[in-house]
Amino acid sequence: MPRKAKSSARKSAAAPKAAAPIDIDAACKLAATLLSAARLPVIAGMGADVAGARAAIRLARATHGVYDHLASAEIMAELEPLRRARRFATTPDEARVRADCLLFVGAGLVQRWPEIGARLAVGAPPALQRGRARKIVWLGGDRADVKGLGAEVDALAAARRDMGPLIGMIRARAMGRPIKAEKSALRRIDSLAETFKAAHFGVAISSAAALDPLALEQLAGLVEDLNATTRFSSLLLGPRANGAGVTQAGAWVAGFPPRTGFCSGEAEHDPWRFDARRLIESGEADAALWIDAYGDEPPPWTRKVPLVTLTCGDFGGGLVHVRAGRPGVDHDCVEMAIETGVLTPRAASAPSAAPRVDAIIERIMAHLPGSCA
Amino acid sequence: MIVRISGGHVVDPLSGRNETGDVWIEDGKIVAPPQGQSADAEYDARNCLVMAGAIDIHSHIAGANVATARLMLPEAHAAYMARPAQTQLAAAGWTAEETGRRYARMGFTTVVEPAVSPHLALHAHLELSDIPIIDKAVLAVLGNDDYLLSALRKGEGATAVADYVALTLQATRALGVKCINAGGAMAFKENVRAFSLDDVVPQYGLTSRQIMEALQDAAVKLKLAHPLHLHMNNLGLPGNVETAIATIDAARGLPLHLAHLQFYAYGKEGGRAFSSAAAQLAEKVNASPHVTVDIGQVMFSDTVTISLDVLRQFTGLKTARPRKGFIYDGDINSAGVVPYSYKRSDFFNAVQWACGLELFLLIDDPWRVFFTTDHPNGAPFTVYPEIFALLTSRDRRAEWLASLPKGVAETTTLGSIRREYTFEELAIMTRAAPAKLLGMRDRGSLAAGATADVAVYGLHKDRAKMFAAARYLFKDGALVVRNGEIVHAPYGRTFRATPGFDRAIERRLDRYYTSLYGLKRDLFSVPDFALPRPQAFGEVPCLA
Amino acid sequence: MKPLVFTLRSEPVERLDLSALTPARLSDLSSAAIEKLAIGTTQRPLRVGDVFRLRDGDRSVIRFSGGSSRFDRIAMAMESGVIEVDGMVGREAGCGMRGGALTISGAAGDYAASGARGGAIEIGGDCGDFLGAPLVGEMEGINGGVVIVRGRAGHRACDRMRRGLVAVEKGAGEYAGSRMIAGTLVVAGPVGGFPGTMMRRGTIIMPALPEIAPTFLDCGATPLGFTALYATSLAARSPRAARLLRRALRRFGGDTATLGKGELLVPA
Repeated sequence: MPRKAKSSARKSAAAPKAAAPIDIDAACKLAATLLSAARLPVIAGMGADVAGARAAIRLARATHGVYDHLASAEIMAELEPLRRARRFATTPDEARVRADCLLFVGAGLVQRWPEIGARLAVGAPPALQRGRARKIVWLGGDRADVKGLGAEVDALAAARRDMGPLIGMIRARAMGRPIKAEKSALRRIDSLAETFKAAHFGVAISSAAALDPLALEQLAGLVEDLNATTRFSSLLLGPRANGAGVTQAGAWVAGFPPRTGFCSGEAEHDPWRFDARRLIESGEADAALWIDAYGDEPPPWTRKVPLVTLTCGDFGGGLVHVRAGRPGVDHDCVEMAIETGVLTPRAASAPSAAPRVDAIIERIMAHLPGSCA
Repeated sequence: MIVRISGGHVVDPLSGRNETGDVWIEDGKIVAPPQGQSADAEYDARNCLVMAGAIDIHSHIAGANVATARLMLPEAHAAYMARPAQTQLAAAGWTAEETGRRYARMGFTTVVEPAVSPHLALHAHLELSDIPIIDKAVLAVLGNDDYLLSALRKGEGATAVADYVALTLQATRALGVKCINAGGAMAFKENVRAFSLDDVVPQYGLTSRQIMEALQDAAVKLKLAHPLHLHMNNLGLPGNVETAIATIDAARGLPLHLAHLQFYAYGKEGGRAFSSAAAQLAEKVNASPHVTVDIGQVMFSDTVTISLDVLRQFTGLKTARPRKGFIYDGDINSAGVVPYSYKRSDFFNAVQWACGLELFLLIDDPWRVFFTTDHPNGAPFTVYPEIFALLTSRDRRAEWLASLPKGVAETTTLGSIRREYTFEELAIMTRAAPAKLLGMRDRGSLAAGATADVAVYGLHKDRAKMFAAARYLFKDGALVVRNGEIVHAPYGRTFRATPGFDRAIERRLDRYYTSLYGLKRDLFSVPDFALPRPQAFGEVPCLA
Repeated sequence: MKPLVFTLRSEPVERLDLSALTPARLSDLSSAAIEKLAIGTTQRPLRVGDVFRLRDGDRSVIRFSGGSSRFDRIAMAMESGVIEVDGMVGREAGCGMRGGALTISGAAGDYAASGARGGAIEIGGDCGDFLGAPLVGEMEGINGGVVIVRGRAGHRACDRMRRGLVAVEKGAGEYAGSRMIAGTLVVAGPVGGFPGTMMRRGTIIMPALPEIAPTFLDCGATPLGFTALYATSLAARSPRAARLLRRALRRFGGDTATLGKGELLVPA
């Protein structure tokens, strides 16, 4: 299944700095031994492209283990309105060409997506809304981001903790229900509510990193309410390290997003029980494979556990480290691209022989007991 | 390797066989009984029905919206926290792998995912790649896209539209083109809440009818084997039989496939202003030889509706069971995912159930009516065996009808229909006819030379039991199911059509993407490198 | 009648799913068969006999001598009978309970009483977050029955509560009663910020008003009515909660971000 990786991987695997130098096949063999001997192994991090995610989930299944993503807290928060209420979503393309009202919500959005202003063409009127201008509102944004967006922004500052109540107030006024506010504050809230109701096609832009879960759900509720009389949708920027792409792969390979375990053989999804960090800190999990091919993020736990690491850097906190190629840089890949909002092919920008996550996992799986390889 | 399936009741409408006899397989193909050679493997099919592998022309088995449905309903899955014992969606497997396995178990060997939005084509193909055993195909959906609507508004000719459709088929690796509530999703983006055949899409000045005609013409011009696959306007609304009849007339005698017709067979008679108009609609279909239909049968179950008809899905939020939903305003199409529970005790659901069966039974020509539940919209595909049982037994239908709420029987003609499907008719509807409709000339038959997809069912007077689990299933000549268990799970192929076109459209579209979206068009392509099994594609030829 | 007693041998090495150990599910099993039940949650699951010493007795009263934060799903879906735990438990205690009584002397983890529909649950210590809340994907939290927590509850107690009565004696974390659909939550100790976020209906009664969202409006003193009735019904089980309910109360209506027909009640 992996293209050409098997032959090239051996010569290209960089020797990890901290962990003992070891060739890639010996590393995969050791990983297989650790994971198959464990009572409850965890495939964590999962910073990988779609092929890497598919392989990681299959490895979790083969070892009766768990798969979790390094940004699962955000994944769970993004899923909450979908799993529990009603969610309206749209694409960056539609936000760019159709939205006559862009509502940015929360801080850190530009940090997550530096090109956001250019990509959404915030300074230009929406191409498919003939003759309609574009109104931009930012609730609770970083001052520098708001100023640097490249368009006129109606900004309202708010601390993260106040975002939920703020969105709630707008929601109440949009539906004509009372709130407790001074006259001037009430006028401000009312005018925001009117702006959103007057939009022909508004798009709220936020992320699970920018808002607390209930505030994110409140925003989903506001968008839903606005659709009673006009059109409004939302665009969530998605978790880092291909969290959204890994979630999609989980949906078709196992039926579930990350934080899913195959302890009994069947997939079970439990956001609390299968949180990799908790599993390791509590001592319930007794071996871990940490994957972050997008970055070199260290695992979030402090407890010692038999650990194999697979990152694009030189992280060496575990027994064995394998340096993986970066998706879309060292090798071609498919990932959830922030600029399209869909699973997107990405040709390698600086092709190298660094091994792909899926190729490494295939080799680990080949060493599992009972594997036919 | 020569395989002999011996002594079964062979039903193969294309070769005219309906007799006790053998089927021979060699190198993945059906062959004539070899002279002077014996079989390397022999399978006893005495007391069995032997047919070609079944083909499902319309089942939502892959892609972004299916993924959304799975993610939306973690509580509906099999092993979810051991809390709900069994659910209908759990029975459908609900992963790519189980989708292939459970279809195969029922003797199906080819399934079409009918609603792939071009920008989500890669997602669909990735998922299809992971569905084992069965062969697959997708239909690309157009008719709510700015490029097409702008071209039509500018009065560009049929050739320009055909080039665009052909390029879309190439880019999405699709077998055919589908249109879903033409213009409706575009109108919904302009806050239109109801949209019928002659309503006009704001900003474009085009009616749904005009868009549909343009795509229908393109399919004809490109000589696609599969005609335009149409999801009409006004799905699910009382009185929408008028829309269906008007749409059949709008086809102008050209080939047209109407998807999940059951959802358009509604009158507005009776105290609840909702009644079956299936008899009237069946009569219209019988009189319109250019039209083919699939049913979209409703069965009573907890399920989820997945549709690119966003207008309908938005309306459906009000009746969601449980009260969740997802509404997606996409680049080229929109979509909605809304869970729903069809209840036997619900008058409206019971009428829907009856409408579907009436259409099945009142449309005379099994070559023009196809077997679907519009999975999972009418019910998960795993209920098929029960529907086969209902089609083949009027007594069984009478039992069901008697269990329905008061007033349902009066609103439908179902109770008066005596027809029972024969095995031959089932073989036409689920094998021979779909192969023809899709242009897959290598299958749907047990004639020599056909692809050796062969389903063997142990005869049982309970047809639901009989069709639930194949005794044997051969895929490309290899045994994949034995006694209802998967014994081998190879990966099948995905079939596409590749009509020729003027390459100038590529440059035009490249410019369109760069200027409108500020992106390169190939971000939305399906390159070989993105697929785990890029070689696993087959081609369906265009008509001569 | 002597109860059936499970005595903990030592802290289990994995989480346990104890949902099989209810009166109804054990009624027809011999003690040897009970000892063989798999209750572990990994690929090599522990069995009852690995974790507990068994003393046979009447199957309608089950006692756990010794608890653990790894005891999950105790009394799950129980319909009748009694389960008593001398010690602490893990997640989802009394989850989906329909009847009978569950008494835990120590603390409970998250999602205690999740989706319970009936019966009585008493937790002697603190409980974790999401008391009574629905599990992932589910739409309704606790839907009937009475729950008493002697200690504190974590965040988002009674999230999506639909019906029933929950009393927490020593206080609750943030966002108590989030997304409540209906039902009554009494907290007789300090409550964290923003109770009742997105509540549609239902009542949250607290000894003092914490920080609340501007989508709650002061409606002034409220006449004693149903709160007094609840005081009577709680008098024996939680005198502390009952005392709060007997006081003159002031009403804040909300959350107007949603339907706005819920209320926060605090002493006037």
